[in-house]
Amino acid sequence: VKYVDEFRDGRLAGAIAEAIALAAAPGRDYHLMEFCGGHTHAIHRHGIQDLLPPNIRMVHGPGCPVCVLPMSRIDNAIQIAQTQNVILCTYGDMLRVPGSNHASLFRARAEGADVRMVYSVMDALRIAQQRPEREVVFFAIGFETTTPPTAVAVLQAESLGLRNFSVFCNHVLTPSAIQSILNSPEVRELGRVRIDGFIGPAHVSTVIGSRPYEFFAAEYQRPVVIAGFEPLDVMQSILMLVRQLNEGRAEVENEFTRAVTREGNVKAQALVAEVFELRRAFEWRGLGMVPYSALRIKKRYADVDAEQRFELPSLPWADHKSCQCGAVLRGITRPQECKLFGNVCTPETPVGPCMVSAEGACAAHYTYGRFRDLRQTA
Amino acid sequence: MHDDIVHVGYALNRLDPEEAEQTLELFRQVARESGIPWPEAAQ
Repeated sequence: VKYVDEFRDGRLAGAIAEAIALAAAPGRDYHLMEFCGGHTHAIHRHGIQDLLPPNIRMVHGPGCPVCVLPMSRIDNAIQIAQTQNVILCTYGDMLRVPGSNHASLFRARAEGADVRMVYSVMDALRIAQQRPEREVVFFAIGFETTTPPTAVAVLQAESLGLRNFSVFCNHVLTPSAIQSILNSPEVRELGRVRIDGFIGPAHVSTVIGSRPYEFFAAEYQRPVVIAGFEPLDVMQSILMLVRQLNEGRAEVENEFTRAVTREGNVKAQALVAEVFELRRAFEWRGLGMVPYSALRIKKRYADVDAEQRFELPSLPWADHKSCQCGAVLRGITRPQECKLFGNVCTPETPVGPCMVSAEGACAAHYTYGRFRDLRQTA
Repeated sequence: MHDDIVHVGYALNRLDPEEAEQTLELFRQVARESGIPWPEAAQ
């Protein structure tokens, strides 16, 4: 595939690895957080950690939308699915995320609820058009990349006069989550998690641009490099971060100039601003309540808001007491340090959400990284 | 013809081929500096 294969060239990866090794100052450690689960997956899949010198450590961040959604919202989605006459549509991974008491949307479907996996919100809209006698609810999750399509669906439902379509909105925001990590006691006071710089997700910045990161790069003095998801993109962004740190700079740099600008996709931003507004706070698994970190549907579109249409109690929630997903999402614990990892908890039998999504740190490490562990202990 | 960045069925943005080539050229520059014997790097 054009502009994919070229960015996977092993010889070039070797050259960039050599440049990183030369740039990394001996006697200095570099702790770099890749915020996005897509980068976590790429790092594991392509063995990037093995190409880095030992004094560069990648810290996995919470940028996996499936992983950060708290159990109470999964329970709410199950409640909606179990409501008479409802068809609940969502992206595939969400079916397998455990709710409380071993519940899941998969299980709800086995027990008779009409839960459907869709590839796009437009599939849900189409089902609503085809089945006017049923209530179709789209369980919307995701960062800034999935939000514009949901906005389009809301506007389209309104223009089509669809009365049987609504959205259970769980869209969250990347910059607020990074700021929350930088404000967390583990990073600020306890020093348990050291983060010297961030790799920012390119696909998010194709929408929001690079500008939203400028504030906290300056305020918290942490460099940010926005990077694509191919291995050479990730390697190059690591090199750019190491160089910034060596030079004492904390700037926002853009590695993915082929689709990211400072301003982003202004049309998509306008669609999102038309339909959504900021929530005062939203609960994230692992991060707790994060101020202004999620979106809700504006009052003007309340007819399409499932939170207005259905009675959804705010449920108390607690993860499995041995599950370390919260700590993994904050970068405190590595997947292999959780005692459930690889025995009780596997991608086939996930206990926590980080083992469900391919972007989850636990699933990525189980699929690729555990072989690295075996090599190291052999 | 344009290449798009597609996510959940939508094109989020267009890929700029000139910028993509410039990024690849940056990588080739790194390869040249590393002395990697590679035909494209010598261009």
